[in-house]
Amino acid sequence: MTNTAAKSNDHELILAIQGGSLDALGEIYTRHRHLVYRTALGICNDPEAAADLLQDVFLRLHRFADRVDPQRPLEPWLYRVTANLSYTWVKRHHRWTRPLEEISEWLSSGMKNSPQLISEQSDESQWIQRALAKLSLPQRVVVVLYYINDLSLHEIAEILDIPEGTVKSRLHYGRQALKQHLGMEEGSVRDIRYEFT
Amino acid sequence: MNSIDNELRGRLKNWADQQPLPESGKATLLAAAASMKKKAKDESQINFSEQPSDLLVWAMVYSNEKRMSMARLVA
Repeated sequence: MTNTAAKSNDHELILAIQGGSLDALGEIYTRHRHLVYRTALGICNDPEAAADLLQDVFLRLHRFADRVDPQRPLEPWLYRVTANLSYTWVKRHHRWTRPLEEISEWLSSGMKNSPQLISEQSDESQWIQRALAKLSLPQRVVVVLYYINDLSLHEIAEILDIPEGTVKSRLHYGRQALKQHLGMEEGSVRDIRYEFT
Repeated sequence: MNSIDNELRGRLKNWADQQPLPESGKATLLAAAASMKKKAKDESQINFSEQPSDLLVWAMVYSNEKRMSMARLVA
C-alpha cells in the first residue's frame, strides 16, 4: 500500500498532529488528499459532497488524532473513515440527488444499452459516473477500493470489517454490473469503443 | 485478471485521475482546524465562578419547585 519512507513520515506527522501541529495536518492532507477525494467521489458521485467529505476526513484526523496509532499505516484509517462517511452521505442523500434522467430511464427500462443510447452519451467521464451510480452502494464501495485504489481483497475486508468472501461476492456482482453498464460484455467491447475514438 | 478486468481498471483509474481536486481545500481545512483548536482552548478555560443569570436561577427554582410539588402529589 505504501513504501517504508512514506510510512515513517506519516508516523512522524501523526505524532506532530497529536501534539497540535497544523503544519503537520497540512502536510498529511497534501500527501493523501487524492486518495480520500477520489474514493469519496467514486462512492458519492457528487464533486461537492466529495469536497466536503475531504475536509471532514482530515478534520476528524485533527480532532481524534489521539485515537490514531502512529505505529500503524495511516492509509487504512483514511480509507475506513472515507468509506464510512461516504456511505452515510449516500444513504442520506440518494433519493434526493438521483438525476431526473436516471429516473426516466428507469421508468422506460426497455431501452437498456442500445447503440443509440451509447452514441448519445459521448463523454467517457459521464459514462463511468453513470455506471458507478447504478451499482448498489455496497458493490460501489468495494469496486472503488479495488479498481481505483488498487487495494487487495484482504485489505478491503479489513478496512470494511467484513469477511473476505463478502468482498469477493460484491466485487463479482459489481464487476458484472459495470461490464453491462459500460457496454463491455463479450463481443460488444470493440464495437462500443469505436464510438469514442 | 482477464483483459476486460484490466480495461475496467484502466477506465476507472483514468476517470478518477481526471477529476480535479478542490482548489482551496488545504486553506479551508487549516482554517477550520485552527478554529476548532481555538474553540477547544476557550471551552477549557470556562470560569465556573461566574454567577448564573437571573433567567437561569428562575428556571432552576421553578423546575425544582415543580418536581417537589409532583412528589407531594404522588405521596
